[in-house]
Parts: sequence; structure tokens; C-alpha cells
Amino acid sequence: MTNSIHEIRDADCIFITGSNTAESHPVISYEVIRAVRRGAHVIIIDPRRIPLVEHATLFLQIKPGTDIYVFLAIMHTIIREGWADEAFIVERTEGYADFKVDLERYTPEYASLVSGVPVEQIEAAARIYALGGRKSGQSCYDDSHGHSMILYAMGITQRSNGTDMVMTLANLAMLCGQIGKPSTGVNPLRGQSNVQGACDVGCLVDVFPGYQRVTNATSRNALAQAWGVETLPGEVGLTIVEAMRAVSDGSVRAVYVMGENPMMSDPNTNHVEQALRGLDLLIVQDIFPSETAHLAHVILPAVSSLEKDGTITNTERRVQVIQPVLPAQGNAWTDWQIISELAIRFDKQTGRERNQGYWQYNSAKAIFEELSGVTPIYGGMNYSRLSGEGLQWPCPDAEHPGTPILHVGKFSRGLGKFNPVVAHDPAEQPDEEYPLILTTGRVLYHYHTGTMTRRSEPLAWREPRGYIEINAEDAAHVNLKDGHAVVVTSRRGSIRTRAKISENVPAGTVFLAFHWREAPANMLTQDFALDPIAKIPEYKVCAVRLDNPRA
Amino acid sequence: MDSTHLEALAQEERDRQGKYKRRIFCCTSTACLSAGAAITHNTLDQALAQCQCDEEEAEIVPTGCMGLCSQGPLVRVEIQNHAPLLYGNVSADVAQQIVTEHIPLSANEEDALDDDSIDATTPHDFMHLRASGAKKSLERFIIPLDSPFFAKQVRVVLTETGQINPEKLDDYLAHDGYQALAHVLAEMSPEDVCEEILNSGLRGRGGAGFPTGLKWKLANQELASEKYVIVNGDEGDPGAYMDRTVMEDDPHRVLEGMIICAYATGATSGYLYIRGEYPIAIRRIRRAIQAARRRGILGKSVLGTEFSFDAEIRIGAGAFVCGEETALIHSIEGQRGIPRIRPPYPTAAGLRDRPTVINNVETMANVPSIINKGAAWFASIGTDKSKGTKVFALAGQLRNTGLIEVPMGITLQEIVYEIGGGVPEGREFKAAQTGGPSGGCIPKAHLDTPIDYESLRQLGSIMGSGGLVIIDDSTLMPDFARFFIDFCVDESCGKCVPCRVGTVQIREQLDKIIGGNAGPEDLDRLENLCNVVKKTSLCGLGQSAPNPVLSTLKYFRDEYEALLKVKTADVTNN
Amino acid sequence: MLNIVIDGQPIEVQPGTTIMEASRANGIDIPYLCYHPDLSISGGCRLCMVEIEGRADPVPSCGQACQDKMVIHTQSKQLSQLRREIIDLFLADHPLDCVICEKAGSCLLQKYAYEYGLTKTSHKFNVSRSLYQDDNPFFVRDHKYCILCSRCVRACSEIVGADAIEIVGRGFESHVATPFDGPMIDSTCVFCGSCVQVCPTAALMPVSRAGKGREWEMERIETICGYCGVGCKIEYALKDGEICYAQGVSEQSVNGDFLCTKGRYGWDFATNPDRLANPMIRRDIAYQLGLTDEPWELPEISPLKVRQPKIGDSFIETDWDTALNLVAERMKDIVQTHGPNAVMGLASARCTNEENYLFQKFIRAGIGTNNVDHCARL
Repeated sequence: MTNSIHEIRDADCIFITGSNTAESHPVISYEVIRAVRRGAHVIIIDPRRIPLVEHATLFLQIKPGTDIYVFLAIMHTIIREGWADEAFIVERTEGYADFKVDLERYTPEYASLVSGVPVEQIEAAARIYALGGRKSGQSCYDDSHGHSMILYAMGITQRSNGTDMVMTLANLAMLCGQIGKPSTGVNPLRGQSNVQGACDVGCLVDVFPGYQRVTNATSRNALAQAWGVETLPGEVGLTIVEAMRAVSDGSVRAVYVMGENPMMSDPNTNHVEQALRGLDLLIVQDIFPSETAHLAHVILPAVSSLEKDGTITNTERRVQVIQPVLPAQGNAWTDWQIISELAIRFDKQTGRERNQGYWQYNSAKAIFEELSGVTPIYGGMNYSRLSGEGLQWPCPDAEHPGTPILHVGKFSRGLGKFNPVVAHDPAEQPDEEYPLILTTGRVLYHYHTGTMTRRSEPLAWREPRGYIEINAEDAAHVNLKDGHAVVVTSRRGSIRTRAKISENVPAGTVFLAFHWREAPANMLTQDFALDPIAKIPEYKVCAVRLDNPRA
Repeated sequence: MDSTHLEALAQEERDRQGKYKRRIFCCTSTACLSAGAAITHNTLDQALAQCQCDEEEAEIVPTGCMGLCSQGPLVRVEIQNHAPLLYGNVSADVAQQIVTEHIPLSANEEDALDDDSIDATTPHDFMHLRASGAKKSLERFIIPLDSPFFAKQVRVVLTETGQINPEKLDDYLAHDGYQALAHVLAEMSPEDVCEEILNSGLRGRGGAGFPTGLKWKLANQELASEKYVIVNGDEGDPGAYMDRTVMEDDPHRVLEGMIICAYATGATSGYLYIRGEYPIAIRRIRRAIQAARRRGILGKSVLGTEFSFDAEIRIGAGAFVCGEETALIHSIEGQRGIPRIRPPYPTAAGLRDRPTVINNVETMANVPSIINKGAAWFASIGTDKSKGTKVFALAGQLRNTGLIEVPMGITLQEIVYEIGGGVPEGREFKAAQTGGPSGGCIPKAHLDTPIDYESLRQLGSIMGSGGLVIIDDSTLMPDFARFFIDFCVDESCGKCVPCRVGTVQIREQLDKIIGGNAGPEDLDRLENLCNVVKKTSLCGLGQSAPNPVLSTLKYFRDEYEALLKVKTADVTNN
Repeated sequence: MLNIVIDGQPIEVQPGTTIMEASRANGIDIPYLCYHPDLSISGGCRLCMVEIEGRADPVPSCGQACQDKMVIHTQSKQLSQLRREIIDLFLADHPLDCVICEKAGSCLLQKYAYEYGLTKTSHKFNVSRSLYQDDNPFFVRDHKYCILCSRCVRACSEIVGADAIEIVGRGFESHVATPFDGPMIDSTCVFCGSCVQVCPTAALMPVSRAGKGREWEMERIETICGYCGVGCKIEYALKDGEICYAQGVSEQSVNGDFLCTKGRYGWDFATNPDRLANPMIRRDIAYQLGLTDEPWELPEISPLKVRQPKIGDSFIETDWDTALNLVAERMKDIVQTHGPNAVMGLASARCTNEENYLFQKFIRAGIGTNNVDHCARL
């Protein structure tokens, strides 16, 4: 997030797209509710009637995958009506002239035709967002216009044009000067407790800790020196989905999985399973025997987040300290202890000589000390500073108070660049054989692949089984009633689950959460079209067919 | 429509009325209707039709309350160049007799009388009555209009009540209706209006007595995109029906006051919150709104000016507490009708958090007269701090009960013995209760107290909205107090603990005393508890709920003491 | 800025600050039951009344905005007397079951009864509602302890936006209820337990806490929630090493008192018997290594197709040395045969920064490849 969570309650307008905030990030939705109670406008752009729609001023129910047209049309309207923040554009950005020309063809009428959203709604959303309009009450800020905040999540990024989508939202914020101030910004809501931190510390194929490019020789050499190694690999590695393909062609032989469940979380499960079965070595380090663990050669038992210390970084870049609440279960170790012991043995096997204790740390704190030394954005952090409310990166030195709001006064690259974006449709479109669009996500009571929440008694009581949300119209086509069994088939595979007739999805769209091992959504999703830059699979759109097993 | 057009309509109606030689007014207000006024009215109409006289001879006017409700149905006969006559207890028989008496026979009718073929036998038959010459018996139904009941009253709010047909806008216009509004729109700035009302000394007639002009001024000074006016017609005190009467019998006067208030405060829309138990008031206000819209008095560009205002009705669902302004606002907003703490006051943040003026029906109804006759005139009526008049619903053990309007400062003595005609024979006056369940009992010794906000409060009662119940010596005061505390237990919203639990505990204590199970210390405990509830409750309901107990404890403690059981300890000591 | 004096202490406050807020910010304690810093003002409990010089009657400090030069007294003989009387009224409708009550020690009513010296009500004890509702595994609703402060109703509406409960009925009969008093699961409740957290008495209690011990016996540990990326701070209350309940941490920047259903109730997975307790080696590998005599082959059927697969059917438990040595050796073979890029490391968005750091360091500096990714994309 460019801004902080608690700023949401003070916003004048909250623009939510591709995020089912109330179910996937409930506590952030509480902030949205607080803003609503104070009179803020909420605009929701989503194919599904998500719970927050109840509290929204505007709900733009798009056909899945057509949101890009709506965003472009919103910007078109803003420019046409003169609602753009010209002063901000002149002072803080570049590339506006070209960008403006590019937008001319994306009229609200065109977007309306493609997305099914009425023109008036697009124009109203444009006005409210650009000017930061309020429903009622006084703004917390005495600026000429109100503060608007964009919240988004995987509905934007898990798309074959996800990078374009994110750039579009950034363009929108810059166009209206809605960035670099409190209660503004472009705010991705991150789905897992430390997904932000895992990125920050370099668990990505192209960057070292602190987003230093692996292809940059200077940073590579500096890190090599810090780590006491001669060289570090300089070519960008394989992302998850690419690696699964590489397994099939035999170039990847071993996969070491720490706390992940690709059998449930990766697209096109049949292909994933085939790949994993072909490995020479699959190591699964986890707290539960996950679906992936069943295919492993070796399982290493780890402790859960309730049993360890360390730091994790939340969606607003806040690094916070965790404490062990429970003792380790059985003979499980912390993940860092396992890695450390494994690395020592690997070195021994390969005959590599290193300094005494190279892989040995006596605590998580000791690792953090090393980590902050090589991760500039964490440079000023240490455990004693992190106690209490933690610190938000960048925090480059010991005096730095942390950064609640990014891009204040200046963007990290200097001037903010308007990146012209061309609208693309999702890779897989419905056709006669697979007439419906499947979109995936979470439900309130479960988390990710369900390994933890489905083993929690109260949560499992509330939401014991999977279901697919189907509009009554689509259900009628195959003669389905609420609660009936239904078979869902895509080009990749087929699952059987229960039908839930729901007005939350429009006709032509079905929704299935990916928590259910008995009906794994990713059996259906596609892995052939990744975002060209981020390599994220298009979980949010694939074509499926419904069959009634009684028929 | 502009004000000249308005005047033309008024003149037209005056001319129309002027051509009738006789006008017979029949009260169709709720009190008289419950005494059978619908039949009376119907009979009058039919009887007149049967007369087959010239149209100019007479018209029957359904009208509002004439005051002496205990004698209803009431009918008043006005004959050109004659003093008006008021008839009470007008049953169908009497109604026919009235027509017989006052309307001359047409030529046709004279012929009919001569026709022997008509066999006049049934008692309801007009011809029969006509023939039998029942004139003499009619006299006993005449109520002298110079009796103290009428002579002591001063009518401001009730000026047109009983004089006009409440369902006819033109009738109101003919009585100078909407002249005040026209004047305000043409000649005065909103600030002038606030000033005028402030100078008049008008205070809220809902009971608390907040200066109305000041309230308007506060709302006027608020900057907001939208402001509201609310007329509080959620009259809930047992036995009180002042607001109902005004709404039923002179709905346009309420609307006029409301529109003037809107102009003065900058409101563009408003609500009349009327309790659901008042179907006739709701109907008549609704018709008044429709008529006013048709004539351009409500809606866009009021009377052709740039000022726009529209009003809607909201019907209360039977909660006493919704008469409290913040609870009332919640109710209009569609929420649970519970009060909230103030500040902020509604003038700053009321309905939908926007500046809102809430005035009681009677307060609004005073406004047109103040504008028409001037603040100084209004201020000349009443006492130093309480100006104008007050409408009371006079009830209980009196000879004359009904709706009265008296100048502030009149004594209870005058009301009870002159207007009310005293307690019926064989009974003794005991106490007067003002302010309904929120008020207190005033004993005989204080009957000479002038009626104004401050004096009543000093006696431990309140002005209230205008309920005035006279109690005679057949009532025991602890029972009386228990009735009202029971009412408050039922009507407490339950939000604050003193009212929710405290009133229940007061009732428990009273039950213990009435049941003869209490000792002297229980009286002190009761008094203490009442004071806690009074001092710590959130809204007016709770703060005043103990008043009936406290005031009866103050003036009639002996009645409580008589109920105490003698302590066993005392007995053994002797 | 406004200048006011509270209990003799001169204080500067922003316009709009209430007396309650000014007092709290300056360490001056005013008793309250219905007030909550994150919720709208109710003003129903009447305990926070204070005296303002120049005003005849005490006013509730929660709703009264400070005005310049206001002189306020939060303690006086009159106020103590009134507060005693108010608590006395609360106690007339609230059983003093403190001896067996699980809220004892953190109950606000108990705290004030103690502070103002009330051992029982002086009124006739009369419980307005004694319904006990245990219709869900998250929390129980025990109406006899409810003091109608409406905090739960406000939290549900103003913070969570669920509007599952409201006060129904009026006066002494009023009580908190779902629509038509139906079971919780049929309402719009999202089982976040925010109502439970803000409840000042034992009217709303976590099911998991029942019979686990007294409040003062519990150890309390604060950590960050392990589910989504919001990073809520959670306090776990433990007795004898067992979690009794979890709650938000008041006035903490991210979430304060409020959590979602997963954070507040979804911690029992940690002690689920399915937890992996020992390193395990798949049976076919174990057979190759001579760790078992039974030959075994990985079944063709997908683990997803098996209703409840048992890990023990396919794996044997072993010790850390055996498992780690096996991994290290096999990894060495692959790296030496196919090169470091034949290894892929999948880090975890659910592990700590330290663990992920070490993981990528091992993959990069140990194995020598940039094939390290995690589920940021998934």
C-alpha cells in the first residue's frame, strides 16, 4: 500500500476494485465502514455483488475482465470534464500528452458496451473519485477537493494483463493528484500475512533483498561480498508457474517447498500434479500434511506462526514482531532452523568450505540483524525499534521514523510516468462449449488452501463445505436448484461441488473459492496465459461449463 | 400563484360566505365525533336539504373544536345581525330541531304541511317535529356564550378553530390565512423573522419553553446545504389533545407557521411528525398539504417567490418517547426511536445530521398571529417571562371540561373555578396535575399560582404540553402517582439505566407502600430514588418521570404515611 | 486550541474534543460502561457524569465537547453519590455472580461496584431477561448479565457493518437480539466477535473460554495474526499453556479492538492432531534406504481424489538427521548432475522475514540459482 490502513477511515471517497475486502481483508473493510459512517462515498467495481456493495454509493458490476475499459473510460471522462489535477500533472509527472491522446478512444459509451456498466455510472464514478466527493459530513482535510483512495487486490493482478491493470490504477491516481497525501494512493491489499515481507527480503526470481535487481552487477557484487561468496547468479530465475512447465520438460529436477501448497494454489492442478510426480526430489516443509506433501519425497515438520518469533510485514509495509504463543508441536522446528541445518549439510555434501557458523544463527533476531544490513529499505530497523507498533518501510537508517505514506512530494523514480495502456481482453473467453466465466477467490471463513481454517472447529462449523455461486438464470439452463450437486468442467479438468444459487454473481459468471480440496478450483483455472511481466496466472477469468449430474 | 391571487381567492370565499343568511357550524373534531357528531352533521345536512329552501338561506359548515368538549356534539348557529347561538349535546333529534327552529320553511314545504296525506309519526321525521312545535325544548341545549368558560379565554392559536372548515383552504384564506406568509416573503428577511419571533417572547409549547426565536436564529446561522423543519405532533400525554385539535381543526395555520419557520431558518423541506393514533389529524394535514401544493403555497417557488419549501407527513408508531426531539429524529430517519445525548442540538446537527428546527404544533400555530399582529401585541399578553397564551386540555373532575386557551399568568384558581366551573357537587378539589406523566400535582394551597413556565417548575411541576387534570378527593395520591409511573415504565425506551431500571424500582417501591408493606425509611428511599432518576436520566422522559411521585410526596405525604405499616420494633418498644 | 481545567489540571485541547477524551488523554480516570473510543456516543450508562462549574446539573463527559475556559470536576461527593446510585440500579438487574463468573477480573461493572463499594443492590433484585443463547461455537449470549450498554450493537453496525443485532423492545423489556430473535447463523452476523470484545460484562463470552480459569490466572501474549496481510495485533490469553481466547489489542494502530472471525477464532488449528510432529520419508524412498521392509509405490490416484488421505499410509516417520542428510545428499546429486538451475525453491508468504531471507540466501548463495519464488502471485 502507498498509504496506511488507518487513513482509510478519513478518506472522502474509497474506490474498491478487484477486492472482496469484507471477506478477504475484513479488518480493512471495517475501516471502509467507518469511513462510510462518516459520510464517505464508496465506489465498487467488481463482477460480483460483494458484501461491501451494501454500503457503497456506486456499484459498477462489470463483466469479468472488462474492468480495464471502465478504468480507461473513467480517465477519459475526467480529462473531458476538466476534473484532472493539472497542477499535479505538470509538477509531478511526465508522459501526460501521449497518454492523453491514447485515452481518446476509450469513451464511456465504448466501455459501457463492453462491460455492461451504464455510462452514467462510469461518469459518476469519475466525478466522485476525481473530486473526492462525499455523501455527507465534513472532510477531515481542508483541501480544495476531497481525498480518494484506491483499494485493490488479486482481482486486478491475477490477470493476463495484470501489470497493465495496476499501471492503469496508478495513472488514474496521478491524473487526479490522488497520491502522496494522506487518505489517497494506490493500495494493493495483500493476501497473506507476510507476502509483503517475502517480497521485501528477496523471495522473488528477479530481485535480491530490498528489490535490488539480480541483473544489476553492482548490487549483485555488493551482496556477494556481504554474504561472503564469490559470485551470485545473475540471471532471472523461474517463477512458480514457469517452473512447473520446466519440471515437465525435465530442466527442473528438485523443488523445495516451504509452507506452500501448489497442489491447491497453482493453476491447472492436473498439470501441477503431473509435474510434481515427475520430480527427482520434492521436499515439503509444512505444518500439516498438505495435498502437496502427499507427493513429497521428504516432509519436514515446521512450527506454525503461533509457535515462533521473528518479524512479518503487513500490507501497509509495517514490519511487526511476532511472539511464540504455544510451544512447538512434537519435534517440529522453526523454518529457519531447518534451512540452517539443511544448508550446513548441503555444504558438507558438496565439500564447500565456509566460515565457521556461516549458516548458524542463535536466534531470529540475529538473522534480522544480517537482513537489515543487506536490505536498504529495512536498514534502520532493529528488534527494539520494532517492538510496539513496528515500523513502515522505507526506513533506511536508525533515525528514520518509517514511511506511512509513499511518494510524498516526489516519486521514487522522480517524476511519475504515465504509462499508456491498451485494453486487452482475458485470454480465455467463453464459447459455446464452455459458456460461463469462472472467477475464483476466498470466502470469509477460510484462508487460502484451507489447510489451517478447515481444521478450525468454529470456522469449519460455519462453512463446512465448498460450493459454487451460480446465478439463477444460468442454473435454470441446466435445471439446477440450490444445494444440488453440480459438475464444473473447463478445458483443464472437472470438479463436483454444490450449487449455491446467488444473485451475487451476474448471469454468465460463476464463482468458486479455492479452499476446498474436495472441489479444487484450480483444477479448472488456466496456466497458459501469464501476465508477460509479473508472470501471474489469470485465476480470475477462465471458461467453464456446468453439468447437472442428475440429468 | 402569488399573494394578489391569494387575496382574490380569499375575497371570493368571503363573498360566498357573506351571501348566506345563516351559517350552522357543526364540530367534527375527534372529541365531538366520539360523542356522535358524524350523525349530527349528517342530520343537519339532510334536514337542510329537506327544507328545499333557497341556497342563500343557510349552509352547514363542518368545523373544528368549539372548546366545551364535555357537552359535545356542539353546533353553533350564526344568523346575520344576530348573536351566535351555541348548542351542546346535539343529538340527531336536536339537530333536526335546530334546523326547524332557525330555517324558515320554503314555499314548497308550506304546501307539504298542508298536505294531510303525510302521516307524520316517526320521531325522527322532520315534518313531525316541525308540526309538533318542539321549539321550547331546544332552549335547554343552548350554552351561554357569555359564561366564564368562554369569557375568560383568549384565542390566538385557536382563532379559526371552530370557525372554519378545516378541509377547505379557501376558508382559511378568507380568515386572513397565509397573509402572514405573504407578508414575510414580501417584506422580511429571514433574520427579520427570527428577530420578530424572538421579540414576541414566544417559547416552545411542547413543555420545555425554549425561546422559539432563539432556536430559529441558531438554525439560521448554521451553514449547511440542507436544513429541515420538523413539526412535532407526537402528542402523548394521557388526556392531552391540544395539538391534535389544532392539526385537525386548523391544519393550514400549522403549515403556515412551518413555512414561515422554514423561510426564517433556510430549510427547504420539512416533516410533520404525527402520532399514528390521530387518523383525522393525519388526514386533514395531508389534505392541507395537497391543497397548499395545488395553490403554490408549498413546493417550488412558494407564492411565486424564489423561496421553495415542501413538507411531508411522518406517522409515529406509538412510542411516547418519540415526542422527544432526538428520538423523533431517529424515528423519521427510520431508526429505533431512542433519544441521544445533546449537544449537538438539532439546530446544529439534527435530521440526517443537518441543522433542524423542531417545534411543537402549538408553537408553530402561534407564528402566523405574531407576524400578522406584531411581536409587541403578542408580548402584551401573558407575564413577564411567559408571553402569549397556552392551550390546555382541561380534564378530570370538573363541571366543564374541554379545550381552552388562556393567557399566560392566569391562575389555576380561575381555570378550575371559573372556566371549569368547579368540582361537581359533593366532591372536594384535591389537586391539579399539569404536564401529564412528566408533570406534578399542585394542591389547593397553590391554586393562586399564575400559570407560567417558571412558577410551575417551582411547584415541582411543569407547563408540559398542556394536559391539565383535576383530581378530586375520591382519588388517593399514591395510586395516582403509580398510574403515571406505570405509564413511564411502559414508555421508557430503555437506553439509560436510571429510566430503564429506576422507574421499575420506583414502581416496586410504590407497590410496597400501597400494599402496606413499607416502613418510614421506604418513603425516604423512594424520594431519594426519584431524585436520582430525575437528576441522571438522559432525556426529558426520564428526568421528569418521577415528578408525579415527587410532587405528591411533597404535598400529600400524609397519604403515603397513612399507608405505612407501623414498625414492629416500635410496637415492642412500647 | 481551547484551555480547560480538569480536576485542577490545566489542559489544552483541540476544539471538538469531548471532556472524556481530554481526561483520558491526560490520565484522568472517569468511570464509564457504554463509552468506547471507537464507537459513537451513547450516553446511556450515566456513569461518566462530571460537574462543570456554572452548570446546575452534572453532564455526561462522553458527549460534552470542551469549551474554552471550562472548569470541570470529575470527582466530588455529589458525583460519587450519583455514581453509587447508578451502579446500584445496574446491580438491580445484574446478578452478582462474580464468584463463578468468567468475566470476573475484567468486568467493568464489577470494577466499579468494587471502586464505589457496592456489595449488592439496595433495590428489589429483578432480572429483566434471563435467556441463555449458545447457538454457535464462537460465542454465547447470556442475557442476564447484559447491561444494555449497546456497545455490541454499535460495534456491529459502525465498525463491522454487519448490522446483525439491534436493541429490540423498550424500557425494562429491551434487549439485544437478532432479527426476530432467530439463531445467530440466520442473521447477517459474520462471527467476528467484535461484540464480544467490546462487551463490558459477561453477557457475551467466547465459547473457547468456558471453564478455563479466572482472568487473573491467565498469561497474555501479544503477536501478529498469521492469516491475511492486514497484520492485526492479537493478544492470546493462555492458561497452563493452552489458548483460552484471543482478542484485539486496544488502541493499536492497525486493528485496535477489532479482528475478523479467522483471527479471533481460527487459532485452534495449531493443536489439531493432524499437525506434523516428525520428519517423514516417503515409503518407496524409505524402502530404498532400508528404513522399512515393505516395498511401496506412489499410488496413481491423486491425493485430491482421496476423501481423507492418511499421511502415515505413504510415509514413515524418521529423525531429523536422517531426513536432512537424505535431502542434502539428493540435492547435491541433482545440482552436480543438472546444475543449480535444476533446483527450484518455493518460499512462503506465511513464514517470517528471517525465514524467507534465509531461504532465498540458501537458494542463491548455497545452491546458486535465482529460482526462488513464493505465492505472491497466487
